Amino acid sequence: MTKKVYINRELPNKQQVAKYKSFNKVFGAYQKTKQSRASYKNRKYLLGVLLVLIVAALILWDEFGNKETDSEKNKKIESISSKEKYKKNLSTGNYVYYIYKDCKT
Amino acid sequence: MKLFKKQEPVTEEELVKKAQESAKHFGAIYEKYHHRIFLFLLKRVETESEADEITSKTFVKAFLNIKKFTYKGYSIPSWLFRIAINESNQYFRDQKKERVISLDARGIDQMKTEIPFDKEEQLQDLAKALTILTEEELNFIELRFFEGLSFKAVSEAMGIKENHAKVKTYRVVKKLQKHMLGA
Repeated sequence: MTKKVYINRELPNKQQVAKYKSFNKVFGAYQKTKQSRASYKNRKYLLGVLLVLIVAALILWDEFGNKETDSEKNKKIESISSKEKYKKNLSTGNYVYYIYKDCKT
Repeated sequence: MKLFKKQEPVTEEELVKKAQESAKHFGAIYEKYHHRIFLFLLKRVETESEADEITSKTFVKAFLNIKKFTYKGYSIPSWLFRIAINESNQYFRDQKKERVISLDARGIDQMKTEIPFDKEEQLQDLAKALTILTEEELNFIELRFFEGLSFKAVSEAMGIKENHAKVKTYRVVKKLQKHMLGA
């Protein structure tokens, strides 16, 4: 940034500066900014919203996570029972093969 | 019967308390410090309208943050100077305007106590030396010598400790001396 130096520059006196004084202007700008400031920009609100989202995510994760494990369990049970049924109808060689596959999984 | 009741002088603390309680009381702070902040900013920019624009922004920022203001660290003028410095820096970044340094008689006299010089040429050397300073270094010189603030007030305006402000200011003075001797 370039800089410019003034030596003994003439500055306005108190009366001249007073013409720029307008609290209404500042108050208007303050009201405008305050209204346009979304509540989520406020750190306090942001933290509150984040906390609610985290709790909601945990609850949902817990609920769906349990459901998945239940369904997986059901599937396993179903597959085991079907295999067992199948095993009974198979010859001895095939029976050994299926035991090996089950152990691997 | 007394027609006019003698008004008790209002302390800074009372001004802040009232402004924090009700927005309409912020006007008292504006009335009291507008002139000082306007001139401080005018010394940094070219025109009065620019100074007016940044002054308004400074007070709006102060108005929005008055509830966060406490007496733990800053007095009102130092706090306002701090906001004004930030706002003017933002203005220079956005508008790409030339930074102005205004050396007045009082400031020159103050500087003479640290950097003794008597010739007109040396004043020109000082002016040149000031242009090589960084924005932060310039802030220390302006607040201390041109605004006549105490080291405590400088430290509050710059957001550092008092001893740190002293050390930094004297480092800048040494830098100026070195540059002037070299010139």
